[in-house]
Amino acid sequence: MEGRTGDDASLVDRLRRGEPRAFEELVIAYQHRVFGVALRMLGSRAEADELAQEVFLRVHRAVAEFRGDAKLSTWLYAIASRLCLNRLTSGERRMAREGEETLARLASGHASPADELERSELEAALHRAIAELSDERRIVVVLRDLEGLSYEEIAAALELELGTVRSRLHRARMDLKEKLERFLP
Amino acid sequence: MTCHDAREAFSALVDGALGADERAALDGHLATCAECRRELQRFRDTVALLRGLFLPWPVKLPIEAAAIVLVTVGVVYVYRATPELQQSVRLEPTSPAVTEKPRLTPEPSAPSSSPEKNQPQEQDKAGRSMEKKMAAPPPAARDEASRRAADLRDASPDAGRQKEAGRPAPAAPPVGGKVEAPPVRAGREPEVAQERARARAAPVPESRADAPRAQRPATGPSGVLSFVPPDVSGRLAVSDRAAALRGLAELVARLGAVESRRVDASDATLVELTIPREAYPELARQLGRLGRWQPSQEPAALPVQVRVVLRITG
Repeated sequence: MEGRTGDDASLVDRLRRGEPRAFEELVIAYQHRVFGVALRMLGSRAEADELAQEVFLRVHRAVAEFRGDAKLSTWLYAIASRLCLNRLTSGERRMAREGEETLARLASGHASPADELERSELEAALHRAIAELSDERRIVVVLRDLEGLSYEEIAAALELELGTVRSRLHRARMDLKEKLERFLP
Repeated sequence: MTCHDAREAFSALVDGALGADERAALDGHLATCAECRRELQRFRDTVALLRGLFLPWPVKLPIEAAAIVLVTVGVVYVYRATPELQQSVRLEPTSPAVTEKPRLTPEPSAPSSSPEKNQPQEQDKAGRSMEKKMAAPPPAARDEASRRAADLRDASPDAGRQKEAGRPAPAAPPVGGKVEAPPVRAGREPEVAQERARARAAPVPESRADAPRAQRPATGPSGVLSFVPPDVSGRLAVSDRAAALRGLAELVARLGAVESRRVDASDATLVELTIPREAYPELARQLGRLGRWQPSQEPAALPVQVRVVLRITG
């Protein structure tokens, strides 16, 4: 994990000075990632929406405390991940979730109807398999395979040992492999 | 190396996270074990499947730039225009539901789910030993690592709050004092006033996770903020923006739509509205009369209430 990049350093400095435009730039730059993590973890667009708002409000409040030793993105992932995990374990979650259909729809791109049908089935199976992972394994898969974080960044964001990250990721992928056997070539 | 040990290393192999010794041992095993080679291929296929489907959001979601800007402005406006929110941010008490570290079940560093898990001790040792190689940073890196860890601890929802208890938030006005005005650009006062009025009238985004759910912001058409991509988005190129906006306002009233947000930028006006599904085709037709309507995102199946974001240029 590297420290702040040049762009990040400049953005953080401007955020600390309270530049209005800097906060807008922060949201524009990171909203997809924050929303993506929240959606994959919570499974509901409405909840992901709420959580993303909460993440940015917390960032707005706490940016003065951010010393810049970690990457800005890692800091945001840390906040988003913890809020997701807290919400998942808080017991106050909405019972109704929008489920795989929404996720599959979100993930679909442009393809022929036949491809779309086949992919929808595959995507639905994949989303279902991911949703069935335990929370602590799912967050590691999301951060690694969706967001592309390194093991070190995940360890920092989740305050885990590297070995634990590696172990959880491996277990999660093995679980997914077992559940997706029929789609494998 | 046993088959179990080899398979435990698959994930790190795929990520290029194996040390040289581990890699050599794994390669040695794979050279003599066809079954593990087959399993490794299936493991690789699974990861490829996962990564192929999980392309980054900007690639997979053609979100209109307008929606992004609306969201951004919405966050800033609502924060600044809502004194209750600023107070809650500054004064909220510790909230266990949010501030505690995630209550996760401790997981062994190298658990086993295979039939060989009857020998957990030795395997755990091996696993931990391998993990320690990864987990223990070189001495020179430790200070750096601890600084970063401190930064990320500060990111925890409670850290900022605790530290903030004794000092005002950087951008927050004194409690109970005058609310800082949002940035107002020339000619934008009416929109800003509307935005602030809407922000005050709308539910306040509650930053406390233990607060009653009813206090959370509504999402969808009535919500002030939304990170959810619109159902339909596109660009409406017109010759006279003011006339087009008047025409759009008439359309909104006639078709039973609701305009939820509007943001003026120098080169475009962004309008978010919600319209009943059955009225959407007529809206699309009429937009074509107002200017050149180019939807960039228009799914075949629309929800009952369609959220539309227009970027009106001209």
